[in-house]
Amino acid sequence: MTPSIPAVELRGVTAGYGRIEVLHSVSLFVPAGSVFALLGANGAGKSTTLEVIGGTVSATAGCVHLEGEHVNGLPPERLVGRGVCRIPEGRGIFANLTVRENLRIWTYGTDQSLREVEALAYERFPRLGERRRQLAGTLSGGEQQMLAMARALLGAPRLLLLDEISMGLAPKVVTELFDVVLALASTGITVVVVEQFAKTALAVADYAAVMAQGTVLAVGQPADVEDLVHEAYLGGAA
Amino acid sequence: MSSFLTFSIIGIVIGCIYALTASGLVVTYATSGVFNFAHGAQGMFCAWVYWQLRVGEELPTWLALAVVLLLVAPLLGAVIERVLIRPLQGAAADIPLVVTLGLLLFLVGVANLFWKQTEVHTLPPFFPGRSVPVFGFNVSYHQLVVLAVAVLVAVGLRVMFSATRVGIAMRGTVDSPVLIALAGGSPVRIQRLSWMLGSVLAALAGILLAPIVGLSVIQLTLLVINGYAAALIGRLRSLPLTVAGAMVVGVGTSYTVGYANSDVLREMQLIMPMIVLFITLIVLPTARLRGAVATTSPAPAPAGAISTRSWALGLVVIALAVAPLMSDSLVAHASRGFGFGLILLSMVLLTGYGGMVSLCQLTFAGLGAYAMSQVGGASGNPLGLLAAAALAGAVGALVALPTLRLRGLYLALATLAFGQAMDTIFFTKVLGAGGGLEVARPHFPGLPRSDRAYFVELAVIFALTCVGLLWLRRGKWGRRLSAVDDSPAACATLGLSIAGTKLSVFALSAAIAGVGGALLIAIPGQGSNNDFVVLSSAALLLSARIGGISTMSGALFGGLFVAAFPALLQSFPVLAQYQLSFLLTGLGAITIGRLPHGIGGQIAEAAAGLRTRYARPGQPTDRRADFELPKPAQHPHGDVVLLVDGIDVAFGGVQALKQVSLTAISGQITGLIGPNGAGKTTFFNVVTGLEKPRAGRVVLVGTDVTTLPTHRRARLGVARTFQRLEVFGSLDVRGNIRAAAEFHRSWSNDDTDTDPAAVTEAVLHQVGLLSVADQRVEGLPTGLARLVELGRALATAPRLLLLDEPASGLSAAETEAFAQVLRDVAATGTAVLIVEHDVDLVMKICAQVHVLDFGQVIASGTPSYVQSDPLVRAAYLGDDPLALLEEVNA
Repeated sequence: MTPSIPAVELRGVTAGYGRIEVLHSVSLFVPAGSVFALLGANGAGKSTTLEVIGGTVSATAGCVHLEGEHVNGLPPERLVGRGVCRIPEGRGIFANLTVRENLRIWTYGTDQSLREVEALAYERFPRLGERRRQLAGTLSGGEQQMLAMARALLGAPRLLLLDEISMGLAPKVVTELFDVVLALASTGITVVVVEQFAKTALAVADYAAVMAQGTVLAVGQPADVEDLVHEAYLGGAA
Repeated sequence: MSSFLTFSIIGIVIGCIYALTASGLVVTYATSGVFNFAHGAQGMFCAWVYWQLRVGEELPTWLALAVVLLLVAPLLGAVIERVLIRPLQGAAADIPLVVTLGLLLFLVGVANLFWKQTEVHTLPPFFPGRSVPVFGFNVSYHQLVVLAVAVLVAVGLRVMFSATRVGIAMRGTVDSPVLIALAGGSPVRIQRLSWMLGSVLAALAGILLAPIVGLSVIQLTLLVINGYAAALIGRLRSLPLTVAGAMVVGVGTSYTVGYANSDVLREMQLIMPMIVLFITLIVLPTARLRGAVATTSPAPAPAGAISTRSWALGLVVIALAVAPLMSDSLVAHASRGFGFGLILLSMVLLTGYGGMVSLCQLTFAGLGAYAMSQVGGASGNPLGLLAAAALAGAVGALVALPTLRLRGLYLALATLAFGQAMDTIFFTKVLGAGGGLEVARPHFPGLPRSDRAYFVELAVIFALTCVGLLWLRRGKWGRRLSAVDDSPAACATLGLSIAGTKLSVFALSAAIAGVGGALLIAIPGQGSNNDFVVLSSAALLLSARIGGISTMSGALFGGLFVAAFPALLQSFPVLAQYQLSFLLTGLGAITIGRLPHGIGGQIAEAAAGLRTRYARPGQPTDRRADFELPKPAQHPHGDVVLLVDGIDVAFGGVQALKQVSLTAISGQITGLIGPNGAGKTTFFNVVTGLEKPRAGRVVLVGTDVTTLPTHRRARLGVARTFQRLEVFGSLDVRGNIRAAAEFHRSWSNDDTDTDPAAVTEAVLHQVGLLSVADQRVEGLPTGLARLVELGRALATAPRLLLLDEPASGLSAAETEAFAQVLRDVAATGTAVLIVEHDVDLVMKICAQVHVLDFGQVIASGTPSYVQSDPLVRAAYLGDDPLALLEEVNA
């Protein structure tokens, strides 16, 4: 991977669900190896942007480039093969399967065996190891998110897309999860995070984009966009 | 004792075969969400192929078995998945049903084509003639084979689903196919595999069953209904429960045969599976209220009153004009076209308008014909038609009653089971033996009695029914149907009892089918049990699909299409010989059934296209001048309208709400804010009864409503909007609000007797939607659609208004106007509780603000107090509260 080629490049991407267009000609440039935060109020189009990059929503116009290659229209499982790992919003786990069975499904994206996968996951998140036979739906919110995040540890992803992994979680758990993100980022993985905890995201991000109503308002380093973020979340009065 | 053992063994063997069938159904349903009505037909088809190889070609048993189980069945499953199932993604809910029914008929047709049903075929059991004595009873080797296969399959499935990755992934697909893809697995491959597996299980069941019950196309196809009962006991998910259910059905049937000491009981064994199915349906827990589903394309808008009347008149004039010109046989065929057309109209009402599917409309038709024969007598007293409508309608209501609170699929299953049960115990017994059913044509005094006159009478009755149905459709009732179909959840929160509405539609539809049946059978004057078999009902539904199930012209096309078959059969004996009608209907349904509105819909669409092309752009209509606009209802200020006390909600291990207590005061706007996932929408769902709390209570205007269903709470004066829009997309803006006003009128005991039309205009004006009043809501920008939901809620004059992110999608100017609307609403004494991310708006309009975080209220107070609370800033921005405190103190 040469540094000159961006990990993700969106050019004039338009996308939506059915007849509702959510993204209106979004252009983004995510440098390889960076931690990139996507910020903005509800309905701004952050999650849809991640879905387009991850292949679960198709762009109706524009280009999606990953590491310089045109990937429009590739199904998500093929993108996994190209090193894309998206942790979806909400809990990205199978609630009716046990922890171990979830990990078994995670092995689809890697050459590692279940034994190796379990070892990796339980080493990073020991609490999952204690609950390996428990149904994932009965785990606490934090443990569920850890199980979802365990997927990012496997198969050496090159691009990690995280959608509000902090949602509904206690600050301590969020810190723990972000430690994992930072550790992964330090190995050179490109990370795109969608976050509503703007401070948390900005603290770890190299770059940030602020979105509103399906367009990108501003891109820059955290210090450049911070004021804009305040306004987008708490209103001008805050 | 020995007879007990005998019946037990027979029951267990049959139960094993049901278990194989039902397991196959569950496997395919769980991974693709498609209930495969053709499952039995697949088994039947494979059993015939096996017969061909084993008996026809005299291959050795092992080779024939290998070819069928390892080649034919998996290939059949894979082709079905690729060609029929995969393209169904995102289709409206009833389309998979039509497609698999089409496949059922198609396979029946193919089997009839290859294997002449006039000859008797028998499939020998495995190891014929050999048996082992068990406690004095000879258990045949075939029975042992069945037991062994069932045990092996059960163990095999268990191992597969718990110990192999693909099996685990199949279980995971139920929850989220997307997540499988995100993990790198291929959902498509998993689905294909499950259909191949389902097909092999169907084939096994068919091959094992055929030597026991005989190799009959229809019987093997329909025996799957017995498997349905078992699959339902497993709730279409759990294999162990499914196997247990299969045993109950199998053994239960066997004991009824063995120990029935009266004729009535002996009849019971024929319908034992249906009884089990109905009991299961009654016991199944109520489905959660469904929100709006994305239907691929909504039904075409009904034609205007004038154009309907001219079409109807035109139809009658044509009938009058052509009647003298037609040959006798053509008159008979065309008459049948109108008769079937009437029955198809009942499906237009039920499926096209009401979104429900019935697979036994011909059973209702048969009941109608029966009532006509009893009441109408030999002279054809027209009162018989009334009796037909009454009997069919009443029975229809009884059939639908247990399933209305469940999902649509269960209604279809119940009707299928009912139709099959009526076949075996009523029509066959009452009509089969006695030489049929004599039905005289209804005679209206003063009208001539002749085939041609009757043809014209039928045309008139068909045209009148069309006019009547369209009149209903355009009015209050039609709005209600569209609303229920578009969003049951929204209807319930507006105080409508969904089940009551559905029941009335089902009963009316059954009544129309009853009249249609009476008139249809009266054409030849004689009917037999063969006229009402359940497979023909299915074929008729498919014809309705092909003709177009949401339009009147569709019913006419469908009717003529069905009636044309006998004519074709007369002209081309080859068609009759191979019973090609099933094959063609099935094929038609598979291909055309995917056009959501069939041929009639295509025509209506084309006509609508022409109309809009040549129509002048209309001005939005302002009808305020037509009515004396009502003043908004006034409520006392300062009352505690909502009191929520100690609410706990948990989803699995995640505590969504913890000990939440708060109040809403009339005349005030109360804000509820908090980060995503804090539990705000869950809170609204608890208040409106869409979500059951684990602990705590909800008190509305002094009434504890914790255990009341949604629509009863709405009637106490709660109205809400939804974060994920729940508009009535197929209605226009005015229709959305009018529907709500009409719901309100139907349940309120308000003496002031306000006209819903006037309320509608007042609300349109109040929320500023007059300029788009005539636009269909589907396709409106989000901001406007949110205002539609607000208007809809206001039309019920609520005491408590819950707004879930009402301002998202509004522009700055619109938000300003919106704030004023809310202030006006509060000024009438309504309590407003608003969840909103636009903090500026909340701070500006709210008297009180509660902040929810991790399902707990972390701060309550005036806007400025809450805004400066460090905990709140921490919740929103992820700041460390301690650092913030230091900052504030410093």
